[in-house]
Amino acid sequence: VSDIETHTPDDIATHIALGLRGDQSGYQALYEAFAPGLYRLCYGILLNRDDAEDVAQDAFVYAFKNLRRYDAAKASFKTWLYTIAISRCRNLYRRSRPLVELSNLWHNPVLAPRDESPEAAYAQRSAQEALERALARLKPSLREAIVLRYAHNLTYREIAEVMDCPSKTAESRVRLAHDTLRGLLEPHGAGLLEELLSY
Amino acid sequence: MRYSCSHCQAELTAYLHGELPPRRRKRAAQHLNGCAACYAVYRQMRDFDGDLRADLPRLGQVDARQLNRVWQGIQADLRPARAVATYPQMRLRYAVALVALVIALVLPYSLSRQRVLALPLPPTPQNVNDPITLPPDVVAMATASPMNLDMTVRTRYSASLQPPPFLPNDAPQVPVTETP
Repeated sequence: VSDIETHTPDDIATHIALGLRGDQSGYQALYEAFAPGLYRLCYGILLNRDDAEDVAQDAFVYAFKNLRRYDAAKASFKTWLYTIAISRCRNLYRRSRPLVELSNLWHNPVLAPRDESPEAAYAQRSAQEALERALARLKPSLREAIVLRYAHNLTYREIAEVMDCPSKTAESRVRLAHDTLRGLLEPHGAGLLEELLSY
Repeated sequence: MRYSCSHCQAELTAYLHGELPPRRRKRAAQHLNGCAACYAVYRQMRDFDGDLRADLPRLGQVDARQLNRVWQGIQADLRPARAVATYPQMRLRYAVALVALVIALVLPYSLSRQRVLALPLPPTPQNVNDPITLPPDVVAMATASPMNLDMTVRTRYSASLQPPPFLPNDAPQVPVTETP
């Protein structure tokens, strides 16, 4: 699966044009370009693999069926797709389901490089679990903001577009989420995360 | 306005993300150069920011098997939409729907029409105020003798149609019903 970085805006426009003509290769190219990022976004917000898969699939189906509604002059395709996904994530966690199943955390596959030692893999997994638990304690709007900023490198203006809020609100949400996460993760010992990651 | 430590620390996240406008960025940098407390906070935040930049993108890494599963689901969801859009199938469906609509509209009308034709016509109402036409002999009898003038024509007519039964003199008297 190719990454979005390898696709230029012209490539994306070509794929969209193909999709608009009903060409399957256009849909497939768009999926290959955006699926990994979209899945990461959904997982970062929902913290559940099955839910993330469902929402990613739903978002792509909606986007492909409504491709004519996409206006390149208003937003990038990535922003448009992320807006659809965020809206579906909100629908899902409004159904008052517990966000993180602890059993799910223990069975998460660790995607560590093969040449890393078991200790390093364990440290990596511990750090990720701590981070997921801390994310789960954030308010959904703060979690969305911090994931969009750090996992997807969106600017405050892009975050505001995706979250449908003013740019100042996006900025304050990122700041609040940053401060809250720091407060949640640092009591485990100053630099614990750093220590685990530097294994 | 004095640029305080709390003001500076509130802007540190945006400063780290490179999101401050040039003037505010310059002011924050000048404050950090001269304030040890704010600089310590800045260093802590910078380290944590680096951790988040490294760790958050690793959350939810997806493998090819998962991506294929989602792609299969997307294709399955898109298939019915493409089938509906096929023009000949749409035309056939519209034709069937139109025939059904015509049958639904015409059938009750044609059935009700057949039933009306099969039924007998209702009787023609008669005007009750019309004078009763009497046989000519009754009219002649009523007008010939002056003695019969006190009898109504109707009574004589009834009597002429239904003669009383012959009864012997010793037979019990049967009450005579009045004629209308």
